[in-house]
Amino acid sequence: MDVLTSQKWDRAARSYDLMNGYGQERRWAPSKRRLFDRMRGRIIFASIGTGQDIQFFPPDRDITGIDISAGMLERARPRAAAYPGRLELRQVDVHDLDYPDGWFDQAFTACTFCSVPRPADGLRMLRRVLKPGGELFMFEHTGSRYFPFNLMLNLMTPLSRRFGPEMNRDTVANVARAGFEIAAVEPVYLDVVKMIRAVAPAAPGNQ
Amino acid sequence: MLGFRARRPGAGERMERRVYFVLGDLLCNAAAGAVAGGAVALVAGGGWPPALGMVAGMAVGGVAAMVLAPAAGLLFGVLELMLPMMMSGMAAGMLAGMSASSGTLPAGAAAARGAAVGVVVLAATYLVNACLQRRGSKWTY
Repeated sequence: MDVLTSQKWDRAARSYDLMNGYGQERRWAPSKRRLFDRMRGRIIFASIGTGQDIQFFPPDRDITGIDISAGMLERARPRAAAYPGRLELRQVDVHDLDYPDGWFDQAFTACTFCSVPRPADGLRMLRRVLKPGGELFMFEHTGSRYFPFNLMLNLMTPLSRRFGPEMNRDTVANVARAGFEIAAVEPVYLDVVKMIRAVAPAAPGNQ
Repeated sequence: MLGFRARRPGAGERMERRVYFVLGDLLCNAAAGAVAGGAVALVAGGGWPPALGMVAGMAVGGVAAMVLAPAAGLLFGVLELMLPMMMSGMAAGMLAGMSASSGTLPAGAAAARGAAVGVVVLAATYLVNACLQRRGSKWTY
């Protein structure tokens, strides 16, 4: 377990709902609902945070929500308890998943890989626990290819990474680097907020 | 391609149309421009070289917007506000810095001009966003 990252998000948990709970979630609600409507089979959700996304989950799904931060999970518990389906919460580092190979049918993330310290390694781990042909669905904010947005995001990152996410990651490239096949990338806002669909290749041993 | 069909959305199909957010974006960008313009007009002096006024104005405007955006983001979402507000602040600050260094610019006039700059920057951002949405694929499966 990465203790420094865990502690950083424990601190962030105190104000996370205040900062993101109203405006940001309302803004993203239609896109997130559309993304999570694709939930099928046994699902891993990394990282579930304070559980704000649970309100967008379709009912009667089998979901394991993981997060590195105990503080985040503490706030997620009432939301998980109210979910009309099976939703288990676990404190796990996405780099160190202890599930068997091919355990899950789908993996979902929402604003996760802006913060995971070694994103390609974390994504490789998600690929390992997905069945061959299993799907990865992501709702992420990333860096931009376009000026002046890329300049702004690069300027913000040294500050933002101290207490939260990095603003300039190339998450689509990280997904490909981790061995997934990119199926679709749908922009939500500029080329910064986007939904990504990728597939774990059927052929094993593609490390 | 991997069992999904993609199509390109039409122009403006996924533009922000919810009145709450459109008005919020408008107000926040106008405010960022106004605060940046007014603040820079108060700071920048008549004897400054225009280049210094421009750079200092950009810096002050950018910082002012970075402070305002997280607060406004509580209501309207910080990611969609931060980028246009920073640009509004920097552009308004730059213009106010240049104007103030080449003569006297009342803070009120600079704030009004800054608000107008904020609205223009927001409109440009909406336009760029619409273009990028058109280029992207939309999931239909």
